[in-house]
Amino acid sequence: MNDGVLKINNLTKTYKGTDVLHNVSITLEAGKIYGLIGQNGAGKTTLMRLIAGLSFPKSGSIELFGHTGEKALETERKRLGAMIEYPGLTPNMSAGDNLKLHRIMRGIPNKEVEAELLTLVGLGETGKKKAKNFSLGMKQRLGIAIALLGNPELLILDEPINGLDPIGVVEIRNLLIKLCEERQMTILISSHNLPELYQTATDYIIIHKGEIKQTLTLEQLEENCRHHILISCDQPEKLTSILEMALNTTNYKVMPDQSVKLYDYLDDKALVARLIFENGIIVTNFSIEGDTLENYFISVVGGESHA
Amino acid sequence: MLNLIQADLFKMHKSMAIKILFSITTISALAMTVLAYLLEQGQIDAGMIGIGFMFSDVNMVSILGAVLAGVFICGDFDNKTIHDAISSGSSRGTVIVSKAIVFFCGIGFILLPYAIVTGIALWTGFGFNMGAVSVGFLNNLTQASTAAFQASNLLKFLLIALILIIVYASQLSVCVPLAFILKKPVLVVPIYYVISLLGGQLSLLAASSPGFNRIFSLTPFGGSYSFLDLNAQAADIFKAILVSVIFIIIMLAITYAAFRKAEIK
Repeated sequence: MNDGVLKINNLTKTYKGTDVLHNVSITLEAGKIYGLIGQNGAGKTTLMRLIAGLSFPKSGSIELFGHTGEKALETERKRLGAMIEYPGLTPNMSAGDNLKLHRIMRGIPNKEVEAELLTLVGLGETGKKKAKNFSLGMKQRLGIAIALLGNPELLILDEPINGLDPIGVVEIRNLLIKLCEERQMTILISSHNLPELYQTATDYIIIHKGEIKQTLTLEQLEENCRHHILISCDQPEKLTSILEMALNTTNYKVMPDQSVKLYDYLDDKALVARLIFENGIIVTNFSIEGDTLENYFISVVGGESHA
Repeated sequence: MLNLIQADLFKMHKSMAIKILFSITTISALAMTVLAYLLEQGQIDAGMIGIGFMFSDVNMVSILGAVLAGVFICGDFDNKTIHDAISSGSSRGTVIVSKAIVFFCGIGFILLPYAIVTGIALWTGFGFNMGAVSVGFLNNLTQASTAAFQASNLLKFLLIALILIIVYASQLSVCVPLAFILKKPVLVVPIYYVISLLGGQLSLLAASSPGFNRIFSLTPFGGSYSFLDLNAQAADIFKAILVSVIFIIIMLAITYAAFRKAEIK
């Protein structure tokens, strides 16, 4: 499915004269998990708050399920579930009562959904224990359960794994993947935890200082992070035939700029270099490229250079 | 909007705060009535009037009403219930009106002991007196006790009790914009208490200035609306309702104007 769930066009948000979001444009498609990656203060939460209607942009537009305009967005937000910053819980109520409160608020008549959701997020056994006595991880789980009320088509989760223990992280990750796969739910998750996002998201949005630096799919990210020998030369076609004939490998990719990414022979660069030289190819670049996830992120946001 | 009201009523039903406030007003209503009785009987010194006033409805509601606003409106910003309502598609206007309705229901609930205790006290036919400080239900207690309380007065007393609750709710509607703008109970409670004290002082000014009185009587703090008793005429009752309702609408409009485009942190 490629239905546009959310389209944001040139969104700018200003606080006290400073742009905290600048001309942000993104499109979310149905049934995908989008990882919103950015440092503290990058604008992740601001972007989510704007989508949820908790804040208003200076300029630009938000289109939710094909509708735009203040009134239409209010209506379409009924198809949205959100947990932004920290879970909103009534401390003196149990998990069940908290869910009941939000269920009534959203006009959901089905009472069974409370028990179902509590079980789904692993809080089925909390009984009458009040939310104020919950651990941070339990509060996060309850916040996610509240966000899931009404089976939203777009789920927005701001740092949902904060405070979760390792098992909790895996459980929530599996839950999100399951929701995405089984219910075609579109999920937008922000996190600092890049390895975790890497295991959850299908698409990535890298935001830095209020600007979208890059949007890419998991495949593109893997491609960008994969270690390879990058070769630029005057005869790329001859180079590829040498790779296939002499080195017996097809594990390479010709890029649009005619440079070649070779994923084999990383441990035997000298052999590759010698063969190229012996075949009279003039090389303009021969380097090892590829990043760890963290280094790739840093390179995109303009920090340290690639490893 | 009905969903939001229903949810807030559920929350209020589960809340310990409303139970505590109700207990306080129940004890205060009893204390006020007992002190008024003992004062009338001459069994305690007239210097106890100040203590009696402390337990009176007008004094208690000016503190506890603002506390209620703090708990149920400001608290919903802390608990992010308001955030959730908006992010799940409720308009800001709907949120304001539903919060105000439930807030007024809460005020009615915590004032209920005063209405019940005053009604029972009047039914006994005993005399009550709290001197010149009598306002609201305490005023009804002291005024009506001069004449025999008859069964025919019961319906009128219920009507007066309802109007007094509406007048108090209207006065406390000032807390709605305060709570939505300031979002901190620690600010809302003292600011409203100062406003209520100021209302008392302005009443004195209104008594000596007919021009100011006309203006002040356009608010629920003026016009002797807090002094409605069994002798009130239909015109007094109608005017009290009209002024109170219009004042509430103005307060909600101010809240909407301030909150319509506000950042919800």
